[in-house]
Amino acid sequence: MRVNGTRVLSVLLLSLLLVPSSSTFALPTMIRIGYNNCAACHVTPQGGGLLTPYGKGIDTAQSLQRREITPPGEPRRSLYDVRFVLGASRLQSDVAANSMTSSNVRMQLRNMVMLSSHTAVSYQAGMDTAVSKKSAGNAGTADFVVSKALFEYRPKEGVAFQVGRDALPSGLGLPDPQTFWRKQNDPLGTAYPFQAKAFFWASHLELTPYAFGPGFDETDPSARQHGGGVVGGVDVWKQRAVIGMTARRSESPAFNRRSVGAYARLGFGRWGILGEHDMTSRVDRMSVAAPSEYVAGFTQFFVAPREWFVTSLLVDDVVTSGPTSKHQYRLAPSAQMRISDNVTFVLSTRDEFINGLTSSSRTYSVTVAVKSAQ
Amino acid sequence: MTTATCLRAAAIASLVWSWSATSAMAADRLHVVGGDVTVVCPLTVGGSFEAKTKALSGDVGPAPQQAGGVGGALLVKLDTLETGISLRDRHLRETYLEVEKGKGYNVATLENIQVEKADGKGTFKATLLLHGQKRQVAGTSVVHRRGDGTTHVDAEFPLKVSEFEIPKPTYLGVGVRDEIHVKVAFNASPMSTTTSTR
Repeated sequence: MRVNGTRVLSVLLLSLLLVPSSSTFALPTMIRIGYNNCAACHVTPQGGGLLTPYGKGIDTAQSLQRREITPPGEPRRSLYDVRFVLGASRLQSDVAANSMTSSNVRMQLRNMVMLSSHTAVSYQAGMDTAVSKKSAGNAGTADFVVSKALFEYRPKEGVAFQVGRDALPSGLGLPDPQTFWRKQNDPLGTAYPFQAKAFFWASHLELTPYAFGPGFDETDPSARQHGGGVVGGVDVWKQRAVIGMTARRSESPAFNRRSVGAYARLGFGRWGILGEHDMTSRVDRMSVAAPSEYVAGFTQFFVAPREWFVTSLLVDDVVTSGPTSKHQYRLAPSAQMRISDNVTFVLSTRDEFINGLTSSSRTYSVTVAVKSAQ
Repeated sequence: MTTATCLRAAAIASLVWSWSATSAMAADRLHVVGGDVTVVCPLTVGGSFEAKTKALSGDVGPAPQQAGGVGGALLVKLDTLETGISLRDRHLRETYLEVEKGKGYNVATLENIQVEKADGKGTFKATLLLHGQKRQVAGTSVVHRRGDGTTHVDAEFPLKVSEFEIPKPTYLGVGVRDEIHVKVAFNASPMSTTTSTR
């Protein structure tokens, strides 16, 4: 929850630039070796965030510096880690005044406490600080962010119900494309709305219906939305190919939104492809302007030459029609190196192009994620 | 014709017959020239992993004494199985399959194979030697005989880990389900062709 924001525009811009590579948060790329859902390795079935003991074991086994993890004598009631993400980037824009150098530090505590054999609470909170340096001057922000606060009831393996604050479910579970798309079609909204959701998963099926309300940290109160949606997919080939559909509908005092999309996670040993595409229609309730239509796509081609080394080429694409027509796309090669279960490096560049405008840009970024091992 | 001459003629005839029979059988026998073995291991929490190897060898051919019988055996070197995670490979080979125990442990052997159809889709039964234990397995097979004399075979069968006295595979609270699936695909050439091209 944002308790101190100094420059809203800077926060939005920096959060887009400095969000570390999505692969440091969640690894849908693991479908390449048969992990067709997140529940085996992450404490919540939506994936990302804190790892289960088994997930820690896999994390360690896939590091450059491997080590055996000794299982605890009895299951731990509380799982936690502390995570620091250090990012530095250099943005070069066609418009010299937009070029900037920036750095950020994110410190997070991630914790899950088992209340009983079927119930748990989990949260993820911390400080995000960012500094940017432009020709027009310097800017700095410091925000306290609660990105997850959930109560979970898991009656049996393969079924879970959650209530609380979190990112909305998506087909790939990657925050980066969601952030990019939200920038286009929901710039004043929140990334972490309050929600109630159910997860059903089996070896060949995943289904997540959900309902959500405002996060109360929206930049503009008129952007506070409530609505619902569903994410559903089936494994169609040897636990190496999941295809699915997404749908979402929401309303706010300012606009109504409807989205429908499709996604695919494909893995073939050392390489694979992730894709999620979405069509959104947004109708402004306060004007008679034609609705805005957004067609957004994310595709990631990845290759893992080593267990600890994953390279990717990511392509984002948003076509906007309506009052603010434009075509924006990004091309981002990246390399992630998992040095140990504590340290991950991500190197990437990102070229961003906007048709009709001149402010195409290139960003070079280095991210180091350091986390404690329980 | 003296008795000695008769015996000599009979011996020569029998040698000729025996050589020609052996030659005919050799022509019918097939030598595995390339294959893939994939073991699909479902996890108790969902998802699965695959253990793969290309180290498949062996010779197979008709067993004249039984209808549908296939003589010979297929052999898989278990210390070459790979799962995509090297630590898991080590656990699989050393802790569960115990390949270092040697004979009966480092190679899986499929023998006494009986196929329903020698060409096309059908079922099969066989004896699998794995982890020092011999058990019957049954599954489906597709045999495709090509015009050049080579044969392609796809076969798959389930097996229960516990039946082969393999310790229950688990790691940090997550286990492999008891029933796993084995998929075998290989190309085979007639032994005479294989021999002549060597």
